Amino acid sequence: MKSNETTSNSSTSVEEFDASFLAKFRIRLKDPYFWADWMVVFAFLLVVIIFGAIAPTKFLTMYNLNNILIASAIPAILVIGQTFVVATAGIDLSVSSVMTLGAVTFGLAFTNGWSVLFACLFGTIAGALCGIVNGVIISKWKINDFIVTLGMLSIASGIALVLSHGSPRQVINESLSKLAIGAVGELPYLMIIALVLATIAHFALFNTRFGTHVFATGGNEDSARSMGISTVRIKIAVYTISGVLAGFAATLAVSRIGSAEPAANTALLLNSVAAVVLGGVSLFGGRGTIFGPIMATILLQSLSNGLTVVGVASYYQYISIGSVVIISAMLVRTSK
Amino acid sequence: MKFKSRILVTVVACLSASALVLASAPAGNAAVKKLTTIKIAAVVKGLDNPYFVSVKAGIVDTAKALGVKVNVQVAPGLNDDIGQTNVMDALASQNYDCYIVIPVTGNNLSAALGKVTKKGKPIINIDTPVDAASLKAAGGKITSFASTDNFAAGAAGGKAMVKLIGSGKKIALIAGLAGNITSNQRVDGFKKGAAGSTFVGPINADWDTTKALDVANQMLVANPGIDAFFAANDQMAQGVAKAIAAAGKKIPVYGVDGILDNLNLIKAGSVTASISQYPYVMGKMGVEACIIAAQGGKVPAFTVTPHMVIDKSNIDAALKTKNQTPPGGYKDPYVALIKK
Amino acid sequence: MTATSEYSVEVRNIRKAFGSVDALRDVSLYARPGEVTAIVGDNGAGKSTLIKCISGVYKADDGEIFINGEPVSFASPEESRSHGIETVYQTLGLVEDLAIWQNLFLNREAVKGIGPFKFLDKNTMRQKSTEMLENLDVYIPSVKSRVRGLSGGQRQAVAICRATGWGSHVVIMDEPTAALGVKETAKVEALIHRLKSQGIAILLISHNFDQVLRLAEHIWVMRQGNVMAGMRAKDTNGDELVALITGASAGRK
Repeated sequence: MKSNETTSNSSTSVEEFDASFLAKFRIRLKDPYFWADWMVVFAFLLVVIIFGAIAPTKFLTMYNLNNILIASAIPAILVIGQTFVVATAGIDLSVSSVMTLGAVTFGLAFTNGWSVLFACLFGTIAGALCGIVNGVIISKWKINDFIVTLGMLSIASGIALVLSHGSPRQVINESLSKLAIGAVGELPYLMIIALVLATIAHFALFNTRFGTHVFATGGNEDSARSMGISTVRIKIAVYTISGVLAGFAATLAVSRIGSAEPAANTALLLNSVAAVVLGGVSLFGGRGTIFGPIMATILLQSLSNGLTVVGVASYYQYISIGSVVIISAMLVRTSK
Repeated sequence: MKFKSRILVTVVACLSASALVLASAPAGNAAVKKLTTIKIAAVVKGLDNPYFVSVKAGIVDTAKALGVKVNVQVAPGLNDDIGQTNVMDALASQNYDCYIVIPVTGNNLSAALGKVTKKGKPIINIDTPVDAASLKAAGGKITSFASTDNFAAGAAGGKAMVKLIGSGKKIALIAGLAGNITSNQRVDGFKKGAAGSTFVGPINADWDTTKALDVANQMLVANPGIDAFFAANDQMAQGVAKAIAAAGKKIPVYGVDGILDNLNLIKAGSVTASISQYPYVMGKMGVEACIIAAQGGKVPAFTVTPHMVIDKSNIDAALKTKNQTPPGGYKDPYVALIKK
Repeated sequence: MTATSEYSVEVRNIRKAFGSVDALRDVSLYARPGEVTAIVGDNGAGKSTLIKCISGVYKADDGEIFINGEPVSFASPEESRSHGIETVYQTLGLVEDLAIWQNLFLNREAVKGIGPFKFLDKNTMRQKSTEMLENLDVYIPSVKSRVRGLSGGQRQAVAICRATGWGSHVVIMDEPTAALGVKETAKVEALIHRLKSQGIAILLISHNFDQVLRLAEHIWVMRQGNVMAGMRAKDTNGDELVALITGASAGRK
């Protein structure tokens, strides 16, 4: 959505563009990118309206809203990293198992007497290393991103199992559990962290040279290179960002489930890819926002939450969530 | 085929149960809650596994039979610990009279259960135990825990196998996911029950039929003298049975759980025995305990659900009840305490 | 644009081989400021390899390059660019999903801020982009438009604008009108005339002899990695060029 601040496909000159707010708005409405970006917001509102109508006392409570936001926080952080990668026309299939590795290294550090902060740093560094390896192999040796990150998916979960000997490490810490359930007003701490990271990511993408180069690399790698942009360095950077965020998100995951689990959670991977697409980020690279994927993450969690509190049987939840992903992706596509 | 139709029945039953939940009015404040006013939320795990499908059937059937309403939910993804936490969070904020939980891990539901306890609602934990330390840290309390004794089930299997093949034989062990507590207990129990035998493994096959097939193949090649197999669940036992058949051998294979698929194989003769654990009974007891607690009654803090070795001798009786309950009945400490 | 030499760019005895294939055998040519210098030749004659050596994409195996009489050596396209040499490739090097202003400032973004926190100065870049495009005869809707929505001629104009907007004095163009219609070709040719009048040396690669004869002051003919001939455009015609390119005529230097 925010990229429309800077770009528009309308055939109006700059002067006219500043004419009036209304005119500006009308131009926005004609821009197909606008619709692709806002589709997810409409879908979210639709979900809220539908569940609000079916079960107002169950779904539309502050308490439940809080639940949705808490549930969205960890996938939101992963989706930020995924957005950077997809913006360069890549994909990171290793996010969920890198997070698992981050959780295991966190647990290892914590149970050996490290403080939460240092344990978190340790987990984040583990994630960063996975990301760097992904990035270097993909960009320097030009190996397919799908294959490399799929390999890393396996390697990271393997290392997690080796380090943990396959068993979970319980992490009981008061400040961590406060982090997991606490809130400022109705905004959970976890979501605040996610939103802070999203804001930083947004600025990095749209207000720094790095961000422009990320989109240039994804939009047209040859052009970017011919203008002297080191696409190799950009690619290493985006996979590293994804790894860092996955490693960091592990701390939040540990705070939520109270232990460092060595088993990989593939649901988070599917969520991150689905949310990126629903959020209007082109899988072919070069285009995207942070707002869209974050909104899509909240949409998916709302859907899942709504189906649960309304009491739809789990089998049907799989079907409905999958359908929403596909239908939304179709809408995003046709609106282009 | 029978199994598939069971899923269908379960789904239909669950749907109608959920529809009831939707239509229900706020509960009344009678001294003893009427059964029809009681609303139960159940958060179970892994409906990809027939074992938990059976737990769910036990919950749904029992709730229907007794006239209480139940909303059964699972994690949105398989092995999805955080997803299950989200589901538990969502249900904890709703107005249910009692909660039945099977956590994906020992710790992932603890924080949400703390909230439930603070609202003064009872929690019945079945199958996988909620970790005591993390639950205490979150301020949660389990009203009653009903589970199988996996170690005892393993031991019973070990004894039965030694009885069948004799002592001092070479037995290959196939475990579930690396580090999984249930798997470890079953394997350790089996080793104790079959003490005096030589053991090969255990090798992990992640509860998976295909992986177990591969693992068993490799074990048979590496150790041609294997006299019998023990797999920590029925799905892996099926894989082992295929490997044995492919190798042209005829050696016994034991599984654990007593899922219907496997009982049909016992009847057919390709799997020797299964230490049946009656997840259906576990689900049933969960609902019964929930009702007692919701009615303000005193619930037994811990109940061991039954297990039984099902082999050629009792397979027909087991198949008759679709192995939902053990042939010859079982002790249910809850049922008498329900006020109808 | 104070040239210390008669030539903006001059190459002497350039050689470049790829494995056993000699792409450039012994190439010497030059381009004067304020002139269009065309390089013509059949496919595989070595034109592209030559311009890539000048623009720093390839490093010549042997030979010298002079910019305004000064010997230079380029290890990368950036070094070539820092000497005022810009190249407009056939593919243009634009990123379709970025806005025009982002493309004009690609890898030259204006930033503001303190220390490591440097943010894009979008207003400055948009304003400057608008100024850069104002000089063109080609209609461009708004610098905020994405390149994806532009026509072939508009894109070419943006790419040329980017190449010339940075104080460059040598612009290399590889088939700038190959993909354009008649009207758009005329516009781009007008643009080339304008650059010439600004004193920029233009190296033009083109298959279109009419265009070459129309635009260029000087023409070099290449064949099989060699320069066959160099002459003033007014002294030659299409027939002679064809003869030189195909090898029917031995050539004059």
